[in-house]
Amino acid sequence: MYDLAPDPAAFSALIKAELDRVPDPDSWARLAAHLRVPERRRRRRLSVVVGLAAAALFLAAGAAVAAETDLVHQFIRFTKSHQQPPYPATQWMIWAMATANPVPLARAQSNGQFPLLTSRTVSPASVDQMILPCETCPLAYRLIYPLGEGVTATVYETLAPRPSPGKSIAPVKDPSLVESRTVAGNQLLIYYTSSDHALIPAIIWTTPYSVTQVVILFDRPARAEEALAFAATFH
Amino acid sequence: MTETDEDAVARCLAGEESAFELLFQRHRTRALRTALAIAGDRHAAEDIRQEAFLRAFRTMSRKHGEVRFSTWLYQCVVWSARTHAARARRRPTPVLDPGAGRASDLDRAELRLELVAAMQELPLQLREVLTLRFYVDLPVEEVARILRCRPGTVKSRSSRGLQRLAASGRLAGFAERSTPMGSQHVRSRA
Repeated sequence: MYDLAPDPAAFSALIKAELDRVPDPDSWARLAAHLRVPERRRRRRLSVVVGLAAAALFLAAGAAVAAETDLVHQFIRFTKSHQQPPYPATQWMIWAMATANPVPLARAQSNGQFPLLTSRTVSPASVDQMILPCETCPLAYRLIYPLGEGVTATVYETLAPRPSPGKSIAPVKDPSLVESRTVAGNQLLIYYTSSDHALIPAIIWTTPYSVTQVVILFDRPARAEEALAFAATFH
Repeated sequence: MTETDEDAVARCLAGEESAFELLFQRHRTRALRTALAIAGDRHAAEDIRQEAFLRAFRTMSRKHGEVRFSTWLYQCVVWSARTHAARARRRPTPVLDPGAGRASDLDRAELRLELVAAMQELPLQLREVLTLRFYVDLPVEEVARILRCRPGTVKSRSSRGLQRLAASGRLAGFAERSTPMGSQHVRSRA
């Protein structure tokens, strides 16, 4: 059997000749409508960071995790009392400042910026678009899933802030309570309430190529196997 | 004297909107055609280019001085094309009339983009390599940097992509019309 291999130079000439005939009407106006000049953005970013820092100082207690993103600093806060009931809500603090607008799931899924992941097995009880008080804050959605035994999972999804999965999120206190694990190409950061890794208050991950960042917060820490099984249902 | 991309990027970082437009106008056509070769759909290519430029502009402060703007832009084009492909897999467009063909096919027919159409039968990773190497004319090392793989991988994917194009039989017309595609290297496969 014979196999024919094209000449790379000939292929290059042909593909250039073909593609160079494709017209390209000027579309700068379309892009410019979405473009924000960094100078203005930096000023807004600074104001958001200052606001969040003030909020963090005001609320600081227990373990805190700071995540630097392209646009803002995000803080996730867990309290020591997670280890004993009653469990207070874990806050993804930046979204605590946001306004929630209910939207249909189909509209959220066709947002045009990032693929919205949903659970294959549990339907969300509500879907909200989160509006933050700054123009440059990323588009984000909140989906609330009722799980068994009265546990509720609040899932925040947004366009991943950096091209390197997971690099932007680093624990600042007790690294043994955070585990980094790669599952099906996704780099998961799993947060535990204690060193025996029995309970999980939150799971954060970024899909391959840093497309979607997903934050799952359980209203009270879920059993590890159940929390991970729930995360595995997202696609 | 023509302003370099790096100078334009510096002006962008200083907040001059005209510099963004300069970079866009300089690279828009090649970025669109690169996206078209990878995605195979004109409308998708325009969306991919839009996303790629936005991503490149938003992150240029981190990449300035680290990589050339064009390298970073093509990396953004590849990422956006992958994102688009993932979306398309997740939400396939329903075909109402299988016999009618899609608008993108019509576009290709009007423009006679047979080679681009033939490339769509290849896996995405082979299309990326063939496009960046043979349309954009990037050296192997730069393609490897963009695709985050080893130069050897780029070479093997290039070779495999060309082999599969030839084996598909879709290039027969090109062999007759122009340069001898498929006729230069004939090797026996045991």
